[in-house]
Amino acid sequence: MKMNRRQVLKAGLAASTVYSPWMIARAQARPVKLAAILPLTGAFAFAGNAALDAFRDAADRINDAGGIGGRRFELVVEDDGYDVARGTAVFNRIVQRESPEELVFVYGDSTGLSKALAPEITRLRLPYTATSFSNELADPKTYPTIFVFGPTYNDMAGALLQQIRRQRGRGAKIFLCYSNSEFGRDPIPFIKEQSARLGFQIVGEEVTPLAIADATPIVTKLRQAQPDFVILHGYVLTVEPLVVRAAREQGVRATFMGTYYSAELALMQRAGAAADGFIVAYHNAYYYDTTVPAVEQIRALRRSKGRDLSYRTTYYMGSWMAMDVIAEAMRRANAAGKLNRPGMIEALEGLGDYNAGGQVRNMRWVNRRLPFTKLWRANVRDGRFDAITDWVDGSKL
Amino acid sequence: MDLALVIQTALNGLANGALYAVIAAGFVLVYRATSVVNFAIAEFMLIGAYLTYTMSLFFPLLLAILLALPLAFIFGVLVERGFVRPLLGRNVVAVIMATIGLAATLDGATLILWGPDQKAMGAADVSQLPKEMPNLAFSLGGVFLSSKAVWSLILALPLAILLVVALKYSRYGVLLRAVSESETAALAMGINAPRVVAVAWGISAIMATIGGAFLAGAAGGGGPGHHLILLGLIVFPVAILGGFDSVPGAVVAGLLIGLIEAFSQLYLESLLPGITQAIPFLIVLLVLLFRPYGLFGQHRIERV
Amino acid sequence: MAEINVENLKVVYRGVILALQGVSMRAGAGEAVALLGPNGAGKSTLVRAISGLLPQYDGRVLDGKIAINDQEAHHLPALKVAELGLTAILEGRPIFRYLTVIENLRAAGHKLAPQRQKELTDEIFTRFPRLYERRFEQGGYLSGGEQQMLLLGMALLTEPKILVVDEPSLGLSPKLTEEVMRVLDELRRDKGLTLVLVEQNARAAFSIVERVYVMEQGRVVFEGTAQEAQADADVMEFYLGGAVAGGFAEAKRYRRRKRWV
Repeated sequence: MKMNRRQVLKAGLAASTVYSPWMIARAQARPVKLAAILPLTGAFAFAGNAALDAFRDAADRINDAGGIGGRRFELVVEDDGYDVARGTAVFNRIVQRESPEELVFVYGDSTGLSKALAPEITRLRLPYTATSFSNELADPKTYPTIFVFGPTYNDMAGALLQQIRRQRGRGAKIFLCYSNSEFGRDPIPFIKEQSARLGFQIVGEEVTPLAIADATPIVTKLRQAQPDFVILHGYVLTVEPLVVRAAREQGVRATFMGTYYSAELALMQRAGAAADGFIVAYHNAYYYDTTVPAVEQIRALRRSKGRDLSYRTTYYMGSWMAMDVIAEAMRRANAAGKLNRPGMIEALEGLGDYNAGGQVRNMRWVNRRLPFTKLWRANVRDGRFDAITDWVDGSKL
Repeated sequence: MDLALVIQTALNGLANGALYAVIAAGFVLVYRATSVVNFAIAEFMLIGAYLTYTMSLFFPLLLAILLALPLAFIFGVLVERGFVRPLLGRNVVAVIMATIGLAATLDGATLILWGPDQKAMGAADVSQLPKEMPNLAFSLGGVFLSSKAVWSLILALPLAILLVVALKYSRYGVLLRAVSESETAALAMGINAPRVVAVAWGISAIMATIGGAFLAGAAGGGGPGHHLILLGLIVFPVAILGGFDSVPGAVVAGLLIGLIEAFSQLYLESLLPGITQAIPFLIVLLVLLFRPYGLFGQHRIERV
Repeated sequence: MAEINVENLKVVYRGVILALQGVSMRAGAGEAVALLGPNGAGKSTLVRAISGLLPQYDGRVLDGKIAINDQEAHHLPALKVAELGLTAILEGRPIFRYLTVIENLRAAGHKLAPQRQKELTDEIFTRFPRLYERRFEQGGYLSGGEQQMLLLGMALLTEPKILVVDEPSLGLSPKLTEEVMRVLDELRRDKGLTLVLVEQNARAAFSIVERVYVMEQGRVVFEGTAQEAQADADVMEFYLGGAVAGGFAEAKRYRRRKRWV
């Protein structure tokens, strides 16, 4: 309720500025822009297109409410095909083409691309976030303009390790299976280090490509290692279903766990009954959870536009959340008379208890990321992930 | 060493290898018939998997795969007619660039036709669970074989062998080999070379569909999606090891690489993480260095 | 029995190179004619044009016509020409070198019913016992003479009415050439074929044909019976490579002069 009152207040403030004639004149002159470099094709096309869908919806919502302080909000969308070289080229094109007064935020792609762009982003003092939750990006000393809109992969792993501590405690046997990519390797050192500290035993480790033809060799090792928990990371539901399916076929009883990109319903769709009990870390809301105000906002917007009301994926939800937060920061920056790049960074830093319609716990940055996540368990009978924890601080182990 | 484990690994390797063999055999068939290196072969798998997916929404999965095959054949013929035939006789680089372009086009076409979201065989929306093939998984004396492996061994492997036999002994096989040698000479003998070539593309698409459908979904695959393109890259090492112009070579090489991968995953991976992914390409390097015509490549008949 | 008529045929390659500059010839039903002339005279181009294979060589008929049994054939694709009963054995012994002898025959006879195919294959093996001995070997490993026999066998399996043979004697010893000519003659009489024989080796051709066309530089420069040709000293000397005393060198010099004047 408290939040709602605050939001109403904000909306009122925004509305009052809209009608100032000076503002309207400026709006016609200068839109305010967000550039999104998305994987609309390639291996992550499912996520990129869902994000685009969310961005468009969110942009409509912003402009229906009068834009940002009367300035029209515009999206600049480019495809990078989940390719670092292409993404870099696209990024350079965008920052050269767009004026710094208009382009105040860039939403980028993968861990690889974000790491490659980080020095340039820092040089340009460009507010930036990405689809990546890499730990390296959440580092305000080196990259003062980069934000991670959620927990890092380390935090997600931390939340999973907390769950392991609750379920099994010291001596728990963990098997790590991850993809041979920047994305896949990101949290592995952290997991190993923390496991040692917590008295867990890493009984096996398997590095695979992003796509595999057959999980039998992995499961053979699982059978030999007899872990209590298997943490899968760095995949996009191409490997997890094969592994859990083969593991269940062969009678492996371990609890399977995954991070953000495994937290989608397609896990159950692909793995079927074998997915039951799979635990994931996921830090936004599921579309079917109508108690979350953001879900109601999304539905209302889509209904008003005559858009399809069927299930939206986690990638949609995360992108909507990011846009909601960015728009709020824009409004505040505008209210402070600083709707520009440095103003955006100040505004983002000061968002405090803003909770994006219940899609985040709060916006209190810890090293430029939001370490809170929830854990969910796959429930195949209902075709849903059920929350098994409230907000968990993944950085506190 | 645990004998049961070795047998299990061998059978699994063969099962995967059978899928590689099927796809690579179709790829080589096209190369034989038209001298076109089809860089879009992985996209053929993708299209095949999506066709199977569409069929699987209405039919049981096994039937869906079978029903997708004629569609795949038509697709292959259309590609040949619309895309490859007009380019024949152009220089090799032009044709190669064209098939690379074809790959991108097909990639985009699947996004447009089937949408980008993650799919599972037989599941029209998120509330549905996947359709599966009848479960043939079994465990015997400590040897476990997954349902997918059994299906690969009883469906894909015989198909690959059938292609080899047909190519060697059937009327069409003889004609295809004749056309592959000289289209002009074949035409002079009244052989309908364009039709023979189109059929080769159709068959290649069928083989890719079997491989794609199995990798995408028969028994818990990752669904039809872009990862198939990554898996499809295996075709090139397999074809090169097999001699590139030899269909039997492709089949043997497919099985061999499947076996090597399985054992490498079991024994080498823990010593050298990532080695399994690299091994097929290491093999290619060795083949190109020491035996450029591969296992079964045609030795040139040079007579004066 | 079938006949072929070529009238004022002009052929270009790649749209510019004029290879035939108005060639006329005919072979009546059951007749054997020879196309003679030096290298580059356009003989092979004429074969390609007749058999509908010009597009394979980036060539096309610019003008004139070809008729097979009164049916216009100069714009027909190769497969349609084949359906009219014309089979061409192209230059360079175009057997399928990686196919075995048997497979070569199967490929050629693919349109026949199995029974008929078997009959004809047996017939070919009777005519050429050497092919039977080597039936499981790849065509590429046969000797030149064997390859020529195989090609004739393959042509038979297409059951042609008109047979066009381009340079069968090329690279063969005189003895083998004689043998090939004898077989060709035999086949044509047995099967009632119309035969168009393209040769550089005029002497070999004279023995089995009724009429002769001599070509040079894309034109027919002489037309007549085999006897007339042989009796014509000019033809023999200038076009057919010094078959009379004086020798090759002299003939060549003369020819050069004649061309440039």
